[in-house]
Amino acid sequence: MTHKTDNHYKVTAKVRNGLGVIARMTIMLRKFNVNIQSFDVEALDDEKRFYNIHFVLDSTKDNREFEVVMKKLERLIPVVKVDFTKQPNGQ
Amino acid sequence: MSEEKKLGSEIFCEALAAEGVEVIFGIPGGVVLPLYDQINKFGHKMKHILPRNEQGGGFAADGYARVTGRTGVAIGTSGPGATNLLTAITNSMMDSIPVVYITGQVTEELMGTDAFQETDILGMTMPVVKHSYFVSHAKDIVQTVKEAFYIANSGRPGPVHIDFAKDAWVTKAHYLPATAIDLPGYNPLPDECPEEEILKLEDLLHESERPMVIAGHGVELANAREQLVEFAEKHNIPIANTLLGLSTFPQDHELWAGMIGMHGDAVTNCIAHNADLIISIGSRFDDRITGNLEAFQKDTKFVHIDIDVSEFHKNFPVDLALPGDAKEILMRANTLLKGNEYPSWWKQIDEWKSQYGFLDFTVNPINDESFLSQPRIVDMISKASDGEAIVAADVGRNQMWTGRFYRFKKPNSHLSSGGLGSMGYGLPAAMGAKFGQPDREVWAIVGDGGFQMNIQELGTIAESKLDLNIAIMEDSHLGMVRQWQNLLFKGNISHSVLKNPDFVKVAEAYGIKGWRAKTYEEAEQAIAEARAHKGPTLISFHVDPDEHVFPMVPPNTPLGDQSLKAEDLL
Repeated sequence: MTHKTDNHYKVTAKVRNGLGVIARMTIMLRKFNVNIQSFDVEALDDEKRFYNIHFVLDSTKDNREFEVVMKKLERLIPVVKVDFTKQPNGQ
Repeated sequence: MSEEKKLGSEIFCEALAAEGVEVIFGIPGGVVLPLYDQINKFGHKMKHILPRNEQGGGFAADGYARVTGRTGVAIGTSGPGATNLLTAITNSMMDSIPVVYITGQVTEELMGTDAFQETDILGMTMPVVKHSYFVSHAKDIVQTVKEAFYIANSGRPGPVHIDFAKDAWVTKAHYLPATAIDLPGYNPLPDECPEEEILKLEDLLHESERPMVIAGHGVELANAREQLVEFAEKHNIPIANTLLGLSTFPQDHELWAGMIGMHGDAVTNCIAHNADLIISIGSRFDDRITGNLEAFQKDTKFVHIDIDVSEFHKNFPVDLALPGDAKEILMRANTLLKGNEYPSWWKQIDEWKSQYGFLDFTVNPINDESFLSQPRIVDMISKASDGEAIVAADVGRNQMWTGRFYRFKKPNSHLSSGGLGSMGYGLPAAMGAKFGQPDREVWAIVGDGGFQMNIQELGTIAESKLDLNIAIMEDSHLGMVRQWQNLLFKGNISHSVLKNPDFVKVAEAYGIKGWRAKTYEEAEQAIAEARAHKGPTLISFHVDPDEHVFPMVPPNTPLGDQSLKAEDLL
């Protein structure tokens, strides 16, 4: 694996349930060459209308560039909100 | 609920009509045949145009949307019909154009079986749409169509794709009006920009000695021309345009500073390279605009006004980001800010105008007088139509010269595949524009390469008897490719030579009146006769393959290092 993993981020995206939500998000992350280490999905309501998707991402982008990626992620129509934190190296 | 249930295909047509759709560009086939069994029954409400290829239909819908401000509609069947739309969809995405693209899909039962004409078109379009939907039942059609049109033409516009399984057309449901749109998280407009942020622009303008505005497509989309003029005059500030921003500012205005970028005006690029404050409005700092990014940023402060907050700081950090619709921000700025004067800056700009020439196509004379000069032909069309026409360019040299030398007087008049740079755009886009603005004069200015990428739309144009003029810049080459090969690849002309058919005869075969112009006298006469002719026309201009577009800012080169003639690069 040659992917550089300089920066690690924990990202939580609140999304509306719908066909292809995860695909839309992973496509956007790939466009910016952000690598997905892992993700999991958490239903937020009994009707399963909203979910939180938790990603662990690694990226060679600096903070400004990564913030742009997160804004682009948030612009996706089914995405309600994105929060992220940078992790200390090695975590 | 007294009415009987209706077929999905009928519900869909009613839903389009409810959105005010008047023109559809589509091609029937396989799984959309149930739709087409209804669509001709709605001819009294919506005109259906049959392009000869779905890509042509997509570009036409895109052109229609650009000149009307309304949402275009294009339809393709499953499989190849859908994949043929991909380039047009991407084009609409790159240039923020509101188009709803409809594709057919095999029945839900067959999906995943690699059925005949099955493609995962939803998956293919995901990276290049603002949003997309899949519909497999009639009951979901009305709400989906409502949302699609809302998303396409709100905030920063863009294409929305709806993939309909065949089941959607053949199942039945009651036609129920759409409910209120509920899309949590979708905020077309950003939060209102605080007044104190707009006031920061005053400090920046006050401190600046060499400011400029780069006005892009967002100004056009916001219909903010009047507010931009007021802002310009209040601050006596030069207004440059991006390629897609052309026609957002009156080009006979003394404050207009031309087109910026790789093939922009020399004076404009000098202004940008030397400015200490750049205010970008509705533009996204594309690499063709900035040239070398490091040099572009050096000793310059940046203000970015944009409706899409995800564009802020994307390519580099800016000093002041003002989120909002260009019209709204400019209106508030015009109220809040005091005026400014920059006399020494204008003195410098006037010196550059004298040094380099400004808006003057004779600065780079043609090499071979036996050919016609493309910029001069564009200038002739501009003067003949008094800058009042809608002009759709293709991609390449014709595109750059159309942008530089057609003097646009009206907004929403310049059509160009700016972001995607898709050859083949010009002809069908002009066709769509004519359907959208039937009372305006429309020209397609295209190269012989791009023209042949969608030449089949001559059939659509002829069939509809569109009063549309086509100017082919015929040099038997992929002209911009040849320019790059000449200047950047040591003259290695690799696979950029075309053997053309006789375009006038091709036109005549379609019943389109054609002219061939090899002299300026012939050109002038052909332009006049084409304008006077009621119906489609085509003129083939015999132009120089070695007339290069200058200035040229090679990729990743500072705007200040623009090349003004071939010797600068060889």
